[in-house]
Amino acid sequence: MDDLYLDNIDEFVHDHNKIVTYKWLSLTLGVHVNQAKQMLFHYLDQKRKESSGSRLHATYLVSGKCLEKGSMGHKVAVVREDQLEDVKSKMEVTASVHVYSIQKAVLKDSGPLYSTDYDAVKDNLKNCSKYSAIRCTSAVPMSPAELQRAQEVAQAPPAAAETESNRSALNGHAPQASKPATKQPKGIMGMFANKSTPKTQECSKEVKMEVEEDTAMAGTSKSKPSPKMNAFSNFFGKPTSSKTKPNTEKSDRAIKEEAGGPQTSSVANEKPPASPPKAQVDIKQEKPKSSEPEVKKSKDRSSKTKRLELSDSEDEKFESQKKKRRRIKKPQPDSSDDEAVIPETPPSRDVETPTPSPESQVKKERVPHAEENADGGRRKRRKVLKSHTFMDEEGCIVTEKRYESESYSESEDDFKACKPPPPKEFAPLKPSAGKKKKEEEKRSQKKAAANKTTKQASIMGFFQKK
Amino acid sequence: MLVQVRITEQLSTIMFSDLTTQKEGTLMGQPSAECPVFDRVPPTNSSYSERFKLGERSFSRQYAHIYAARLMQMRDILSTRAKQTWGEHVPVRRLCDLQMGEQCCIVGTIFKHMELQPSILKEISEEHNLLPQPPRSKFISPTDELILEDELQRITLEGNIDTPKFVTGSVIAVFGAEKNDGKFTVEGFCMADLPPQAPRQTLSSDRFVLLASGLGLGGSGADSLLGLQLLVDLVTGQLGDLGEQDRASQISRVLLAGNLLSQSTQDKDSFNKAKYLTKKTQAGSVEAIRMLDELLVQLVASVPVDVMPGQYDPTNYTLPQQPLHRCMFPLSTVYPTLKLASNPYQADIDGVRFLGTSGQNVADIVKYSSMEDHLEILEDTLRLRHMAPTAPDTLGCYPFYHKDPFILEDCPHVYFSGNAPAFQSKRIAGDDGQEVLLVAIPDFSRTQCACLVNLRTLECEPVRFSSFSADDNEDNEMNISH
Amino acid sequence: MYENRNELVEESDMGPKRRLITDTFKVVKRAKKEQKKDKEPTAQEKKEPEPLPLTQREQDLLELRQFDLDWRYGPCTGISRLQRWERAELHGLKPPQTVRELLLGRGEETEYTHSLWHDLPL
Repeated sequence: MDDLYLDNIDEFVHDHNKIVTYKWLSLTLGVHVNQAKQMLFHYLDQKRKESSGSRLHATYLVSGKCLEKGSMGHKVAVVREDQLEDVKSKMEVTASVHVYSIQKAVLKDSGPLYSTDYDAVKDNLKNCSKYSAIRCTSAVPMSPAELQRAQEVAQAPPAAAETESNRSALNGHAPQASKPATKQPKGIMGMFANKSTPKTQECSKEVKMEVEEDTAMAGTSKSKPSPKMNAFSNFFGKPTSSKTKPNTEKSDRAIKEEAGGPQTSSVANEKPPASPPKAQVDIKQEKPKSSEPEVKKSKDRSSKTKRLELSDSEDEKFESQKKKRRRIKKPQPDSSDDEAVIPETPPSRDVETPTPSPESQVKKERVPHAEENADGGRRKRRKVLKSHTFMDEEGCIVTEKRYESESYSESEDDFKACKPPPPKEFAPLKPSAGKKKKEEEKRSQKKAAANKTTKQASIMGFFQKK
Repeated sequence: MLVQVRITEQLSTIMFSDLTTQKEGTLMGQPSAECPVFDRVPPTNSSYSERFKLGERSFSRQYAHIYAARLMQMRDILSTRAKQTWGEHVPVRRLCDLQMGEQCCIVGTIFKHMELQPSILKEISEEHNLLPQPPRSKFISPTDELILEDELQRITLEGNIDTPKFVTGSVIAVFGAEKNDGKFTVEGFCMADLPPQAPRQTLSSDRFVLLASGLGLGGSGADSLLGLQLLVDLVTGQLGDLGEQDRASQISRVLLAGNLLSQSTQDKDSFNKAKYLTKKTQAGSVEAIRMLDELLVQLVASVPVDVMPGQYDPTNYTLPQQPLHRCMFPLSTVYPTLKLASNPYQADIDGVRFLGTSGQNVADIVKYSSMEDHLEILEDTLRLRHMAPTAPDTLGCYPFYHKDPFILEDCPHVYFSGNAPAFQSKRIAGDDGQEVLLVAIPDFSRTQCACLVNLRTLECEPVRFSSFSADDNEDNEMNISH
Repeated sequence: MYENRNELVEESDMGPKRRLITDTFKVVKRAKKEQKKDKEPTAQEKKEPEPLPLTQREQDLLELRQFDLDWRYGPCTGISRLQRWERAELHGLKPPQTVRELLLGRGEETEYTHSLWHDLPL
């Protein structure tokens, strides 16, 4: 075996400033886990002999039989080098000892070890046990056809086990029994219902139709080959899929937050280890939030707005895909507490766009703005309130008006408070957006109007709408 | 007391860490050219019970049916048990035939009248003008009284019966006499005790089933996840020396007993906040489920895994909880080794009957009884022959009418409950030669502990995982408060 | 639910036990019978020429009602008579075979398939 790996490890540890765990090494170099453990040991041993190893720190894995909390059991521990002998002495029988990781800094806690492994494993989820010491012949991924068959089998037993309920359906209760049948798919199962093959004969026609509808919808999004997978992607694919950009950013960030990331730990290593890596994570988390949008704003505002539009329409598409759920909820009054509010907003915006009243202009401008500030809520509230004004004219004027003006001024203040940033944005935006399209042009004009007199505009709108 | 017995006993028995091939130290040397790969023990005859699967659900019924069916099912068993206990000629009476002062035996369902039991009717009644009650972990009080109900009537019990220990819904037989005041003075009582058991298949070699519960994904920070990753690595043969990997290949199945997600994924924001404020936020459980999928795919690529849902997992809340839906696990669902199971779980694994829950039944009894110890409660429910006596009173439950599925008709070999505060296990033997291993599976996220059941010997041992954290210098116990 | 039963029994605790329970049943029964009588005449008017099958029907319904009133077979609400019969059979309570035949013989008529109280709210 040639010793090239020694240079590799050296590079990882010193140049890349990585925490090199046996598992990471095994997945990176494509060697058996046990070989990776031996490589790490060999590397450490050699460096120690060259007396340049003093700057290296290792963690070990110790396992064995151990008496703890009054019961004898198996124990698996990851320990720092200085704890190694201590832990070993506590074991009654030592089953295994090996190097777990090598890194330049002393690890204060074992969190970074997990993050390192997590990243490596996440990249190799499809063949994560390729290099492990246990092979399972029965654990072979099924082909889509097999999968479908398996699912049918899995679904058959409940149908067979329905004796209890079949009986209830058989012996009268006919009106009542039929209700639960349509009701059932509403819950969690209902959300996933489109996944279940239409084979289930219990499926009432209604449900079937919905399934078809749904798959058709999903088909337009052309993300995955089989309709089955579409169901998956509807639910889980969306946040990760690269289509909706803001979402991906968010989720990426979320993963980094949790995992800490290899870079994070390396940064932590450079610094004196007094600062725990958690603080680093926080910084990382905030960075993209603050810096990224600003850069984009100044640079290519137009593309940004475009993207936002895209994401909006994307959103709508997504919503339309989930229409089935919505439809059920819609009949309910659209109080702000209700879920029905969510689909409410986009249509109302569409309606308002053609009418060139300054009122709608203001609103339109605000939509992207509010989204940037991640408080879409305020925007919505405004709209609701305005629609209230119409109502007020007819009937109980006094009370409702009062309430409205109150919250109105409040939000106005809010708007003022976040005024300072907008001018910066708008200045470069006007020309660029103007070039784009008519719509864009309109919008920029609206923005200008909004810029000059925010308060006026909204009050004007208030009156004009009458 | 019990623990000491276990230690001495276990010292003489073969454990997971007593390796069949002792090959320590092969990893502290030069890389070897070839590395042995062990084969996972092949799965043998394993079958799942569909007993707890619900088909079409109807909620048009009241819960009276469950109690009626429960009493119908239990009456004969308890009558025979009563005759065994108090003699063949003991009169077994119904409450309506009760004669004042006659010594007799009655069979009925216990109703524990509890002053502190939360009641929505009490809370909303304005007349009482109640002070807000402090949050409690237990709802028992000295004023509690036991009432025995049969099909038609009820009678208050007093005398030789441990009131705080019993819970509503248990069917028992009591022996005594009705006194002048209309109360029944109990001289003794008996439970249905262990049901008959089918013989266990004898295995020629060690095989293990790993039991874990309360993975608590989506909960605390990354450092407590290392323990979980170590668990996965142990089972999948990543960590350890050859001997340990060889041993790990004898783990024939992993059973995850509920609460795969943390309680904190059930964020109350979605209930408290207006919907328009939470529109863009993603439910915490979505990310946690993805993590679970990534974890599961590592496991199922190497070992059969049964996944039960628990209290905080995304499926129905009432027992029996139905299996988690496959489409939540796009990565791991392609493996035939993934089995999504129902919450009371029953399966024969290599000829050993496993039965158990994710722990809601036990946790509920802790609240409404003086018993604290999960293992003790587990044994009690086995002797009552009822897994969840407090359902439907204080534990959510589907309104069954035909029969009560939580009654144990035959005795399992391994009877477990998940999400216990600590690992405990015990073996009990029945009068008719039944042999049952009781296991309280600890909450992994809190204890970093799982357990292994040896199917050959029916012994159970804990597997603990630990790593180091910043604030412990000498003790390296993993601390989740970190 | 439990409450229902408790109320029933609690009431009985106040006075002599057996009598009050039968009282409770009686009340319901009477109310039902009145309702029946309202319905029956209309049926009679339709099929006036054949008085015999009607009495047969009445007999059947009487027997079914007796089955409803037998407390040994458990509560009736929310389930059909056949479901209740089958449950009793399953648990070895030996419900009368004639009831089953009656129930299977007459298809979908609610009068047959469901208990006295089926149209009362739960």
